[in-house]
Amino acid sequence: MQRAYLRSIAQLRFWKWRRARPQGNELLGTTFSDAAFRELKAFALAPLLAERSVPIRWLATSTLAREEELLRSIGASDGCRVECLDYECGWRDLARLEDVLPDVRISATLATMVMEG
Amino acid sequence: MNESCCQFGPERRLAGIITEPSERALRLGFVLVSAGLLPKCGPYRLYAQLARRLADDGIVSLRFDLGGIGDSGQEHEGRPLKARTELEIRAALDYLSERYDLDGIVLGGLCSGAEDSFRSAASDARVTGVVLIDPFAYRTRGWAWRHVLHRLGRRALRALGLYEPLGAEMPQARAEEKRPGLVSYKYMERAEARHILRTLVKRNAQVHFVYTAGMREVFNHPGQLRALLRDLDFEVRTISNRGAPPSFRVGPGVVTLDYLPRIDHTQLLEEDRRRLVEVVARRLRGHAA
Repeated sequence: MQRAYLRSIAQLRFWKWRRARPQGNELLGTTFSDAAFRELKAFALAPLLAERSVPIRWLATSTLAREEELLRSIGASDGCRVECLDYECGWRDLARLEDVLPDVRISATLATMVMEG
Repeated sequence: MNESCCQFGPERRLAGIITEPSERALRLGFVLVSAGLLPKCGPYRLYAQLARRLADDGIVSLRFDLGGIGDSGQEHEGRPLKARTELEIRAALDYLSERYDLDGIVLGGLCSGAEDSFRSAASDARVTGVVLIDPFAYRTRGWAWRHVLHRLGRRALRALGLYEPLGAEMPQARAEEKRPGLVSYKYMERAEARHILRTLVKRNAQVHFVYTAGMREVFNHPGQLRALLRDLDFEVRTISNRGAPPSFRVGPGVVTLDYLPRIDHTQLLEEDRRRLVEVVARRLRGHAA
């Protein structure tokens, strides 16, 4: 996504293209320290979940099958489940990165999931 | 520098952050108004960075969430949005002026935050200046020619594979474009902008415009601001030094303009935010002087 963003502003700074490239570990508006960046890249959920069987409530917005597959791939236990709200939030669309989501029951559903314990 | 949370408004439902310099070198306050529906840190934390940078220059600032955004609850329910926003900005001005001995307060913001600041400044004499980042702009004949050239350049870069508009590679995003947006923002009408500008310059308030490339669809040359000023019944005189960004004396007030054609509307890159912050800081130093 960061690369897509840089391509989208190439027309603004064509003559300064080299300078336009962000310094360090800058990704989508946030700059990470080298250490944090290394840790993020090395981070893997599956081993942690294998150690402790944490019951996971997973809230998906659209693409339920893909999310369920993702949950299985990180080694979630049987008690885990995915709930889906049918709304495309555009999480991977850079043009909508800062959009405010309408009230599609995300907060209310999360609250219910937390209260379920 | 010291930062503290605050609550204000008739029912203390508005939430903000005061950024106070360790030494108040200038008796100037700065209030940042929410940009669109974004909370008080601003897009990619622009407001937080700006407030901290201004503290280095001795300027105290308040950035806050308008009612219903971020940590702020709704104040003045039942009133129209414009009236509510004006009352909330007034509450922020009250809060700052009650706590600090100030010679003046500057209101500012990005996009809708700029326009909300501009409207409120017109009706509050405590406001001695405004910083408008990407506010209203109106196309001119010159804009159309420059836009054609820009589009040609963009097409050439796209053909070379160097430029790709956002979302072009995502079919999903293209489908979404056809759906109506969640929020549709309409910029201020020219007549209203002209009226407010006239009010402010007559009152000797300083009006600082900043335009980025994000406004390219309506603004692509600093000369376009002159067109807006020309409609006013004031003498326009360039007072900038060679190489410095334009600055005009219009009647008793001063209007300045910084045009940043390589920076996008919400400055995702740190370098862009830093540049914008420095531009605003320089104008506010000049304002205080």
